[in-house]
Amino acid sequence: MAEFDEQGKRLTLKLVYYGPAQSGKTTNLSCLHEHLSPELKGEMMALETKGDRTLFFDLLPMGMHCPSGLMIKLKLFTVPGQVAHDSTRKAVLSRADGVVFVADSQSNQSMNNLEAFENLVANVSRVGLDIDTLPIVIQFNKQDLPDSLSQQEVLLRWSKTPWPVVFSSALKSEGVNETFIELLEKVYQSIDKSFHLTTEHGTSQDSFIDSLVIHAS
Amino acid sequence: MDTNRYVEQLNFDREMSLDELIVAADTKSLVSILSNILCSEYQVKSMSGQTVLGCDTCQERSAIPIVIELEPIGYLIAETQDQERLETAKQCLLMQLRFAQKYLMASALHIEAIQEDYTTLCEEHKQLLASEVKYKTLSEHLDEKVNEQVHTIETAQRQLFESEKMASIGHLAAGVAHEINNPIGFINSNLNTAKNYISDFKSLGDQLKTAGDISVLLSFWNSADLDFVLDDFDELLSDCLSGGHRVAAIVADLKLFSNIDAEDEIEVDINKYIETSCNVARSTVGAGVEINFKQNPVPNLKCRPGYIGQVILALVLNASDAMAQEGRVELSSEFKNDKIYVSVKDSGPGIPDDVIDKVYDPFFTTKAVGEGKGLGLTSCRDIVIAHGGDINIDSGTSIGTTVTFWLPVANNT
Repeated sequence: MAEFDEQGKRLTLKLVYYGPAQSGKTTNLSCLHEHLSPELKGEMMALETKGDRTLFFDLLPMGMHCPSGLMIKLKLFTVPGQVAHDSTRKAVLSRADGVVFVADSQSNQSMNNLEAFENLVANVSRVGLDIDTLPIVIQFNKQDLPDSLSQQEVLLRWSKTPWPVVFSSALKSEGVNETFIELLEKVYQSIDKSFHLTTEHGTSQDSFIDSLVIHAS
Repeated sequence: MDTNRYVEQLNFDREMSLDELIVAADTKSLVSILSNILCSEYQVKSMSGQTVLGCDTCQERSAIPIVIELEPIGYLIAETQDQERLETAKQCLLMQLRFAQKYLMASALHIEAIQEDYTTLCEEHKQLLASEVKYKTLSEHLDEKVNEQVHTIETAQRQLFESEKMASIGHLAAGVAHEINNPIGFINSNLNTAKNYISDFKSLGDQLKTAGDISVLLSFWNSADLDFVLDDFDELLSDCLSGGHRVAAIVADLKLFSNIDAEDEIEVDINKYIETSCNVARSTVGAGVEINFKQNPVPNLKCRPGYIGQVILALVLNASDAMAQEGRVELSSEFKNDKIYVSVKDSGPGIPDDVIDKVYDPFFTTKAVGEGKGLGLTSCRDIVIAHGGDINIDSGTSIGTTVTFWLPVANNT
């Protein structure tokens, strides 16, 4: 749920990278942090264990200014993927404005992907969000690994769902920006209805995305 | 206010002010480090104008914004203008504040997660308690329900017995009516004939009084065939007497069999009741059925004889039905091992294997609708067991069917 601060003239959006353990959620954020130079860029905060496994969350803040003077701040979060951390996931997911579901393309991870997705659907409902209107993008990561499902197979399996599927290899920095852009488009359409970004703040969908997805030189 | 929920309003990912962050920082060390770096008066000021660190009378010669995420949350104001020192001081401050933010976010998230787990646990606990209450109530009422069921079964069983009792009384009534009507019938007819014979003798008497000649009397005697009349008369009266005896016997049977209503146990010679039942059966079954009872001496048995009679009647009727009303039904009684054994044997086709397990089931019958109620053997078994005994069937295509039951003779009265 987008937070609008009248005083500070700031609109804060929360985007959450969800998925089974070690599917590449943190890698996605690191990749964005390394390769993008949005108008406003913050430092990446990671709370992890010794083995680089996310314990609480990762956070990457970024933002842009609308011609109206409104600042749009995006907070990108990741959740811990291990099954036991469900309560943490719920807390991080609450009030989210968009979700990227990062799945592991390896064929032996199909069950984990399914269980994690079911967990997402259940938690979306538990934190009071609507799965039918929440902007969601599905990312099938680790396409570079040998034993990964073919894109054809994945698209077939997800053909009946309403969400777009993007293929990626986060370690190789492929597909990460594309996924992010896909999500930004859906999030823009969702918040424009409530906050009239185009009409009142002079920010179109294109200018919104262009202010954020600026490739670092 | 419920202190367990006080953090509910503070989301872990909220915007944190400088005031909030500084609380989690090591301000003591920070103050001395900043002094050493800046070597001048300084002031760390929040966006609301509060002095968070340093001296609030510091002259604002330099001011650099403190940016944690995207926007300034405060300013570092100092009297020195040394850019290098200022930059170093700022970095040091930022480092502390970032760690503070990390810590505050993690701990808030931790509390949220714990709260969630606790709520879930409480809910599960509540459900478990409710379930426990339910089971406790159920087990308390179980006793009640069991007693209710036992009562229902006992009532049903009683009704079953009544039904069978009525059936056997029905048979008795039918048999008795037939048995009494027969002798009464021929007694009537014989007495009518006797009356005619009397008038013949009356005529003779008249002749005696008026005739002179014995030869006239003799010829009348012959023409009236009074020799025959005398013989026949005697026979008539004998028949009437035996008919009378038969009726008396039936009435005696009736009296015995009417003990069916006696609920109390009495000590009786069971053979007598078996005989009576056979008599009743004889009047019911077809003419082609012969009923033989080979009795051996048995001690008196304390029982409800009416019910035992009912058992015999039922078994004998079954036997004759099995033989399609043609053949011999053989009964026997004997005393062995403190038990009285009674068996009823027929030479019928035997009970098929697929039926024999069900013969005791209530309302199970192989007879056509309206002909058999299917309660005969059920009642027999119940009555025998109620007397402390048991019943057994031996059956096969070549050996007919033999139903044997035994009743224990108790040593105490």
